Amino acid sequence: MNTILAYLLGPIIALYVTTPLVLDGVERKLRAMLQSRIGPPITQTIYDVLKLLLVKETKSHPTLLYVSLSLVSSIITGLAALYYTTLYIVEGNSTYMFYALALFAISTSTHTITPLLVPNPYSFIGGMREVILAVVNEAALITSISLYTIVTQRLLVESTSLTSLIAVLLIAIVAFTASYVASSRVPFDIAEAEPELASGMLVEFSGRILALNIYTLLLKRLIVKFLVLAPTLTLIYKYGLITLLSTLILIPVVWVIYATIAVLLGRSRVDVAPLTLAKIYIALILISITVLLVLTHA
Amino acid sequence: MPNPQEALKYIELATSNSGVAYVEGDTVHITVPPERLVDVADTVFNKYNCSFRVCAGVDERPLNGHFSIVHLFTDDRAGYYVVVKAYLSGENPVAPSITSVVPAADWCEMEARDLVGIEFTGRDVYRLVLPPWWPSNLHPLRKEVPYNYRPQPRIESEKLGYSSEYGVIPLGPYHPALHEPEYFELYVDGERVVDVKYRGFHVHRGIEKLAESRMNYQQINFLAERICGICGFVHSTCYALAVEKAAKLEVPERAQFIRSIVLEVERLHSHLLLLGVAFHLLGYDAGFMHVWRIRERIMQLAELLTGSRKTYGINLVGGVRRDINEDKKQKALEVLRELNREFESFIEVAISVPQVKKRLTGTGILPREEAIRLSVEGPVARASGINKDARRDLPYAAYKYASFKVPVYSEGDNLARVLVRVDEVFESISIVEQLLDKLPGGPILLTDFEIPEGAVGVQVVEAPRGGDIHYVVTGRGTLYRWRVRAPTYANIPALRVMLRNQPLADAPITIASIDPCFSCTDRIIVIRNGVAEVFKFPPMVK
Repeated sequence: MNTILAYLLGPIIALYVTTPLVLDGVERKLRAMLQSRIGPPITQTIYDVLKLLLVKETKSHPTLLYVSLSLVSSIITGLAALYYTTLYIVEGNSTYMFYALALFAISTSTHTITPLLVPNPYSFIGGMREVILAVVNEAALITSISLYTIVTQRLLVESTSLTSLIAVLLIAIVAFTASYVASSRVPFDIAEAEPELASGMLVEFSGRILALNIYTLLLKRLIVKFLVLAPTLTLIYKYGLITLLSTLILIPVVWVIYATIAVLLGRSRVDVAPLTLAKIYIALILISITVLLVLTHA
Repeated sequence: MPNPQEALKYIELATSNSGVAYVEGDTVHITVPPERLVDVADTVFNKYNCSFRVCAGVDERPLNGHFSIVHLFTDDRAGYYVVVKAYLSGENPVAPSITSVVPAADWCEMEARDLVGIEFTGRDVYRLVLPPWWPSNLHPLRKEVPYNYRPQPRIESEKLGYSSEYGVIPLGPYHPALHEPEYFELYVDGERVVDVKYRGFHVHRGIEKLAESRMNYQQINFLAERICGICGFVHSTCYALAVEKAAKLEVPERAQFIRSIVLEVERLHSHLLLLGVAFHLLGYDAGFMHVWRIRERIMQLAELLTGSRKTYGINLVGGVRRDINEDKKQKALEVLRELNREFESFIEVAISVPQVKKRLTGTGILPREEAIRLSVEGPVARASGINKDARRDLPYAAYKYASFKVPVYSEGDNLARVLVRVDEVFESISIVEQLLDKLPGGPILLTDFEIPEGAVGVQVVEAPRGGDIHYVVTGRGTLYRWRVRAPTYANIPALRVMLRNQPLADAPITIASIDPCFSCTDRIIVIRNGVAEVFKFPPMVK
C-alpha cells in the first residue's frame, strides 16, 4: 500500500462515513431552493439520524434483530467497497476494483432483501419492487463498471481512436445511468416512496433501525458515485493521490447533478421502469461490446 | 328563465302516470303514486336524458301523516329542475327502488333507509351511513328523534371482505395517500388491481338534523359553509339560493355578482390545491411546491375580498355581508393577471414531465356510458365527454353575465380530468375579471323579507368537484327538511370502474383524480365525553 495512503486511511474512512449525511443535507437544501422553499439547514440529516439513533426502542421483535444485522452488514460491506475503490484509484490494480464491485453487490443485495424480512404486506410489496429493479439495474451497474474499468485501463496503455472513445462513452452512459438508478432517487424510488404502500419497505422501521436504513441508503449513494467516477478520473489523471483527491472533489458535484435531475422528474412505475431500463442497458452494452470486439480484432 | 314549452312534457308525463305536476320558476314539481315512480324515473332519466342528482326521504307525518321520497333530476338542456315525489304510508313507508333504471340512486336510497326509515323494494339493501351498532328501528331524521340522541357505540373491524384468490391492500381509513378518513380495500393480482370495495361516512356529522332542530335560516348559512373545508362557500351559496328560491326573494344583483366572484376564487384555490396533490402523488414534488406557491396568491385574494383565506362567512339569505370596493377590485385584477401569467408558464412544463404524462395518460379510465349511468359530476363527467356545467345549464348568481367555455374531453382518463381542471383555472380567472369589470352598484343585502312555511327550493351550484345540491323545505323560523349532497357523493361509485385493471401504483392518483372531498360527502361525528371517536364498521358496501 502507498505509504501516504496508509497515513491518510483513517481520515479518509472518517470522511466516507460522514460525507453521505452532509451531502444529503446539501441535496435537501438544493431541492428546497429549486422548489421555492427555504428548506432545512444542511446539517439537518445529521440531526435526524442522531435523533433517531437516540430513540429508545419500545418494542422488540426477533425480525427487527435480523433487520438490524442485515443493515449493519450492508454498511460494513459498503465501507469495505469504498476502501477497495480507494486502493484502485491510488494504486491502479484492477483486482481491487473487482473486489469493490463484489462487496458492493453484497452490500446492496443485503439492503435490498431487508424489507422482505418484515412481515408486513406494504413492506413485502415495496421489497419486491426493489428486487425487480435491482435485478435489472445492479447487473447493468456491475457489468458496465467492470467493462468501464477494463476499457479505461486499456486506453491508458494503447493509442485512442474515435471508435474506442465511442465505446467508452456508451459504457460510461450505462454506468452513470445505473448509478443514478441505484441511488433510489425519483423516478426510481418506487420501493419506498409510492403513497399507496404507506412508505413501502420503510413502513415498519422506526428509531435506530430507521436511522440505519437511512444511512445505508445514503452510503449506497456515495458508493455508486465513487464506483463510476473512479474509472472516469483514472482515464484523465491515471492513478495516484491526485486522482483520489479529484474524485473526492467531484463527488459533491455529481451528487448535486443527480439531485437536480431528481427535482425535475416525477416517479415511474414498477411495470415501466425496469422494462425501460432493461431495453436501454441491453442495447447500449451490446453496442459497446460489439465495438470493442471489432477494435480487438482490428 | 327556461322555456315553458319544455316543461309541457313533464306535465304530460305526470298526468299519464296518474300524477299531478306544476311549474314554479325553473322547477317542475311532479307528484305520482309510489307504484308509478319507477316508470316516471325511467322516462325522465333514460328517455329525456336528465341528470339524476339525488333523492331525499322526508318525514312529513306532522304535516300530512305521510312520509315522502323525492327524486331530484335536472334537465340540463332546458334548464329545468325536475322534482319527482311520491307520498308513502305514515306507518310503514315502503317505496319501489328506482336503481334498476337509475343506478346512481343506489346510495341516496340507502341513506333514506338509514336516516328516515323508508324501505325500498326491488333491490339489495345494506347500511350505508349509520354504523352497525346503531339501533335498527331508530332513524335519526324522523321528527320524533331528538338531535342529541347518542346510542352506545361498539368498535368493530374495518375489513370488508377477504379474498383467498387475491392479495388485499387496505387503503385507509388513515393513510398517507388519503387526506380524509375513508377506506378502500384493493384486491390485487401482483401489481394489478382486480377489484375494489369502498366504505365511507366515517365522519357523518348529522348537520341536517342539527339545522332542522336548533338553527334559524341565517345561522344555517354558517353551518353550511362548514360542510367542506375546501369548497364551503359553494355550500353556503347553494343553501342561500335554495332558500331564496323557495321564498321567491329578489336578491340584489351586486350580491349575486359578489357570490359568483367568490365562488370562482374558491374554484381557483381548489383546482390549484388538487393539481398540487396530484403532482405530489406522482412523485413530482417540484410541481406540487410550485403550484401551491402560485395558489398562495389566490388565498391572499380571498382574504382581500372576504376577510378570510377560507370559510369566508359572507353569505346570508338575501345577499352577502361584505362588499368589494374599487381599491379591492383593482388589486384583485392585478393578482389575477399575475396568476394567469405564472400558471400558464408553470403548467406547460409540469404537464410535460415524462413520468407525469405517462402515468396520467390511459389510467383510471371512466367510459362515457359508465359516467352517464352513474350520473357523475363536474370535471369527472366532463373528462368522460359529458358536456354539463350548472353555471351554464342552470344559471344562478351572476353567471349569465359572464362568457366562458366549458372544457370537455372524451378520453375519460386521469389526464383528461387534470386537463379539465387546468382549462377551468383559465376560465375562472376570465370569469372573475369579467364580473369585476361589470360589477353593478346598489345594495348587497335584502333586509326586509319573510320566508313562508312549506315552500320547496332546490338548487345546484357547480362546485370545483361538480354539482353541489341543496334541497330545502321551509318550516316555521327554520328549515323543515334540508338535504345536502356534495358532488363527491356522486363520483365515488365511479372509482370502482376507474380502479379495476389498473396498476396498484396508480390507485392513489386515480382516487385523487375525482378530487374527493369525503368529509363533505359524509356530513355524524360521534362525541363521547367531549372526544370525537371514529368507529370501525363491518362489511356493508357491495
